[in-house]
Amino acid sequence: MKKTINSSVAIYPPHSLSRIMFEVNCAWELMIKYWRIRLSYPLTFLYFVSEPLIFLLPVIIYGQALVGGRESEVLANYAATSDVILFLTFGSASMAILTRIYWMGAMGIRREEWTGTLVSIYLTPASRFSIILGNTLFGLTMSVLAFFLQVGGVFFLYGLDINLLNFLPMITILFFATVSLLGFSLIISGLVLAMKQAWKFVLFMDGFMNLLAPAFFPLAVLPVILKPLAFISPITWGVEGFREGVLQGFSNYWFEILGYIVILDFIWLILGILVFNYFEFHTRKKGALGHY
Amino acid sequence: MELSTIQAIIYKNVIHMSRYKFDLFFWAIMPIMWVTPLIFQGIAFVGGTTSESFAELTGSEDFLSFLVVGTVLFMFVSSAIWGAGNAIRWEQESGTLEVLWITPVSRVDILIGTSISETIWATLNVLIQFTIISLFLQIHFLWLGAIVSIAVMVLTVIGLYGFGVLMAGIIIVFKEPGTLTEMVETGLHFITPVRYSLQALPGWVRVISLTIPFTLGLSVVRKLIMPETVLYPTFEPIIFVVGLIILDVLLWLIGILLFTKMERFTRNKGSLGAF
Repeated sequence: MKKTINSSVAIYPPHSLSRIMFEVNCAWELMIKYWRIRLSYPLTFLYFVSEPLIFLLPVIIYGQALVGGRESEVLANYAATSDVILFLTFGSASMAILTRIYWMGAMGIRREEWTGTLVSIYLTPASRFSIILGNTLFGLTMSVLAFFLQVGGVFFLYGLDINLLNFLPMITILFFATVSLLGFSLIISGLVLAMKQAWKFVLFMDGFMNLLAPAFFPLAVLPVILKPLAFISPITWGVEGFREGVLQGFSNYWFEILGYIVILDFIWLILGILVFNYFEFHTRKKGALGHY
Repeated sequence: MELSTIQAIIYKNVIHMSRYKFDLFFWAIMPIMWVTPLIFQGIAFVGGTTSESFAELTGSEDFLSFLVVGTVLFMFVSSAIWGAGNAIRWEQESGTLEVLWITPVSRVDILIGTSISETIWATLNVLIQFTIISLFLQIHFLWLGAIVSIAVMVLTVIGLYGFGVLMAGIIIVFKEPGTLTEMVETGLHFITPVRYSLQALPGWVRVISLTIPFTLGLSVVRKLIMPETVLYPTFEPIIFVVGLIILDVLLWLIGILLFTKMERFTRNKGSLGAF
């Protein structure tokens, strides 16, 4: 007999491997659902995957206008390359991937609220975290597609000197950085549940993280007053590690960055779960789950 | 054209805006947050706030002032395409479009009223942004030129809102405004001289860029407040101003014509209030 979702939950004990697999399956199905929705709007889909490239081109042109070519001796003092296009492409590409992961995760709950499906989803036996993970996976897969278009576009227009083997340290960083971003998404999701006016808050956070993240400049030029905030931001080390991986491979600095990310993973994930549970509990208690 | 209608629309929109005071602060702060990484980028690439290579293209070494003027004034572009372009859509979403449409007033008057109220909003944003930025950064402007450039900005804004009316016509048919507006905004950011001069762009992009009121207006404003900057092509600023006036007339004519056709099409389809 085919098992229903309810019977699966009934059979699987809370912390068993089969229960974890069930939750992963829920997240996967949600991701598929979001992909189907997104593909139903071809213009929006096309814009979302091509936007990182369109966004990057003015940054590159501005960089080239500043240095009068593609090499900067000043940049070489701060980073592992003097090539401004290489530096900007992978800074921007990593930023686009990481931002989209937490943006999608954070906005997922609000999107369900808008479409009137949040309460129905909450009634299913899937964990709330699986809902956010499903959104995060959707953000991740779409970002990876956009990444290839962005890097491919720059490669076609300007040419990039990269070692394909260095994609391994890059993917490793991406994997670990996603965990802390998931935690960060949980915090934003919790706040969004409580505050409702989500997009303005997420947009502000996005702008602030953009300001701190070393996507278009090396971390060294960030003013001292902002550095402590940059150091605890889940995006900063993701961007730094991603670019270091592409430029230098498994270097000492890369391992140092990985260490920071692993520590941040624990902090952000635990914090995320606590904050989300707190806000979710209070929103449900107030009966404001489906409210706008 | 009825002044009382335009006045009523402006009054309605200003009342609405004044109810969301935080929004004014929010939209004044956000562009500053977006431009700051570009300032850090400049410092990381050239080691300061001046660049000889930048001067070869623009005539000015001071990329910081160049960038700030472009980014802050781009607020008028955003306001034209988000505000005026989406005004009809906001009415649709709040369920007031059909009520507004059955009143015996001209649609064009509604759009002119919306454009003026959006200009008030954008001007407040721009003033706040300039004030905040000049508190933290050393921006070098010729303030007398800034006063003259108000007239140029008025001409620029008129053209931009003509484009906004055109966008409103497209949005009333296609309904889904977000993606279209974002595409247009990102595209305009790329092809207009916000961060760099036109010389930095490929030839065919420059030609397109010169048909956009913001390109002409921004170039003249920069010339007025940063006299060392060079215009592209190296015409006298008055040629750009004449071009701007021609574009204003053309964009409003095309905008109103297209909007009227699109509106009639939507009404015939019976989908005016539909989502």
